Amino acid sequence: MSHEERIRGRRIGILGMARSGMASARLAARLGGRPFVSDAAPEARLHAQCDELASLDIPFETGGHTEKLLASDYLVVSPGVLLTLDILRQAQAKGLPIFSEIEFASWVCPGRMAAITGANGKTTTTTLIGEILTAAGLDTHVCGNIGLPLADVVARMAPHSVAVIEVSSFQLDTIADFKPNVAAILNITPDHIDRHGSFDAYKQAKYRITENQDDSDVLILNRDDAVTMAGPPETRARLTCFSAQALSDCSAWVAEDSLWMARDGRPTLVLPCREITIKGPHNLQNAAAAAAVATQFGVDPATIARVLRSFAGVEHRLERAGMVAGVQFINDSKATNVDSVAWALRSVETPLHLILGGRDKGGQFEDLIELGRGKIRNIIVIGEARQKILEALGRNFPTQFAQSLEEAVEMCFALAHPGETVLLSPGCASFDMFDNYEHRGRVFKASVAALKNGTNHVPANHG
Amino acid sequence: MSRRITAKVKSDERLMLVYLITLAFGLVMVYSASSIMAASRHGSQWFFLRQQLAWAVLSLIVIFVLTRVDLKRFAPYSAPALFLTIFVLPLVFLMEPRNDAYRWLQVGPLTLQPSELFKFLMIMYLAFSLSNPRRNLADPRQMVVPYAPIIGTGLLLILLEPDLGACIVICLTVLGMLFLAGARIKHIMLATLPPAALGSFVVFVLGYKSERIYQYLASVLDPLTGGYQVKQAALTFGSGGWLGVGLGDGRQKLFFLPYPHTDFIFASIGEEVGLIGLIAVLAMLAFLIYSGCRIAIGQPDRFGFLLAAGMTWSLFVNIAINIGAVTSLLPVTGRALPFFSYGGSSLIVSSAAIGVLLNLSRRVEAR
Repeated sequence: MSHEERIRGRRIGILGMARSGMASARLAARLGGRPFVSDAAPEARLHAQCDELASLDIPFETGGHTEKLLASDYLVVSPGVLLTLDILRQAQAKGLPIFSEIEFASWVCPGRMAAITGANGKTTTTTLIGEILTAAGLDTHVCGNIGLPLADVVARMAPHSVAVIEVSSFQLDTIADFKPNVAAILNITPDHIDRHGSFDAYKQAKYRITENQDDSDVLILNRDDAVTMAGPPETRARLTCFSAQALSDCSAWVAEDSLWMARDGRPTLVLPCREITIKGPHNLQNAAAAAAVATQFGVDPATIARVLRSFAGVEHRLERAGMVAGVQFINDSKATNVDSVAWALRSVETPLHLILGGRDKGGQFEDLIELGRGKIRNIIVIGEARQKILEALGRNFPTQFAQSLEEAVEMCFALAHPGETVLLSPGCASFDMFDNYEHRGRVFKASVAALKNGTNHVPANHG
Repeated sequence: MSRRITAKVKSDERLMLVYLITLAFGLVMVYSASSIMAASRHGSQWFFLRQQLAWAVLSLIVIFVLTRVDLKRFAPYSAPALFLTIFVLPLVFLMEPRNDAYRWLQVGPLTLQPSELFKFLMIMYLAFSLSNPRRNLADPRQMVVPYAPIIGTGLLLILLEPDLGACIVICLTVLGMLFLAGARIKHIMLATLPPAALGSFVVFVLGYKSERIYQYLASVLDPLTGGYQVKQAALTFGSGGWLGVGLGDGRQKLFFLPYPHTDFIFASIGEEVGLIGLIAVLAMLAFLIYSGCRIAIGQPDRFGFLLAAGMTWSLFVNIAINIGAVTSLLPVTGRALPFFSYGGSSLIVSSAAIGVLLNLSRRVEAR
């Protein structure tokens, strides 16, 4: 059965009206499928989506998932949907296949695919690869977790195009035939245990990225990641590595303070590390990973070096948010797990005042004690996880609560001396106080801007 | 940001309205419960009402002022003010005792309880101090030790008056605020032990009010076997029934029920307007507490949160201890019922708490 026939005429139940759900519905309708979209939120919050679906003659339901969904041939789920949802349990019991949006869209992807997964650095690396491939003149489409769903991108792709896809382990949980030409696993750390149930399940989910690859494909692993190297996945793909250390059996590595890559089997200098704009040891790994992926698409070292010199990084990922009275503010709102916070601590070289907290994702904040010793001056905690963080870190670092992120910024500023850094790297999800981590990052940057303008932004007492 | 632009500028009108209704109903009940006693003791049935009316007017002035000051700016002064209060507290021992207790300070025509002022300033000070960004919540040397001397001295002086009820309220307020600030449970226990030990020593070794504790333990099982006060309170509730005997028609206040217009006013209300009236009173008080919680949660900063939560919690403790004693669920410690009991200090400080909450309600962010 050709891939398009898996869509044409089929009843496709789509869960969730978020970006990827809507993209799946559009794709299904365009290819002659019979999509049905269902969302648990009330219609009042989904006006735009409902209007669009109505205009496309796509049936839908809001305010809950009903039996209608189970009358489909298969289901397509958004990355945000929990597989433990009642309706999905029922679907599984009925033997209904459940696919992630990436799996679904990959059936009809006309070009090549590079899939990037990992616990940390996905977004930076995926964006960086997109920039490099674009600079090399390839028709490149960056998509996946980053923003644009793959289902939206495939319509615009040609056989010579490349989709650079950021893939989360949740999306990999529900793949069947997803077969990227190049797959990279950046690192594996206990991040989403709350959803996967166990660390091993999480690791196995990541490894599924290579399960359909064959010897025409490439799998790229992180030579420096102990977890990956302790039990690498079984694969039929050609295996290669990247490293931020001097390991010349890799396809990209760091030696003598420079980034190197293998070209025609010989080590080739890409550029000295200090010329790379994005800073920190984690970004060195990201750069090496990007180079390793780019070389699979035949990009030359000079192009990679040119992009690494100009690429300024990703919003909300160790993003410089401004300098006020000699205090540097860094927005790392995207750090939603403890390991990302550890990376952030490594990359900041001055004494720092750390803003932590939000909705707990089961992280071990004790892991930060060693790294933070002598570096963290104060911790200000916000959100639901604050008591847990206080218990974990309070004995080692002065810890105080703040009522809001705005207040946390003000507290840190009051505590910081010139030359020190205020770092928002929450190590938690944002949903207890914000719409998403982007919202949290924007509030942080707005608070810093308010400090800069000298405006007292906590509503003052009037009169 | 839009969130700030929509920040409320007006204070919580519903809270003010319910407060005023509470205040008015309280005045009616004070008159009803006290008029006969007033006529026989002071020659005028209006005596207590007139006094209470003056306190009510003063309370409204206090609220008016408190809603119009920048609390955050005045917060640092709460530390020296609290310190000064330590020197005001012992002045009560120079006054004439009432019922063998030195709780009151006579200043011209005004009778004041400095312990109430101490409680109010202490909440201010704790909110200010516990919200300091420099404070390490996990360090007992920063969470317990700095507060022990000043609050301990105050507590000791109040205990000597003796005013066990005020001590209990202050202790519970401090513990509640430490908890809300994020202190670790272990350290809160650490702070609890000395006052608990002192309390047990005073009650069980020195014998102060120990009889009342034993009476209380007996009366939990059956109020009619308890002490005289507890027994009369139970009888008063009983005679009220569902709908009460009618405003002004209560008989228990005719020198059966002790303190019918002060500590036991809740029983007087029960007799005259019945269970229905009591439920109305509880609903009003519950609304005040609920408003306080809502205002606390909506605060944009730690100081506002701790101040609003501290004021609300302290009010709740006061209400619970009074109603608990009157309904013989808790031992009698002699606490006034906020907003209802006759007495200036209680009314003014309880109203001041409402004033603080009204002030803080304008900082609540629309979310």
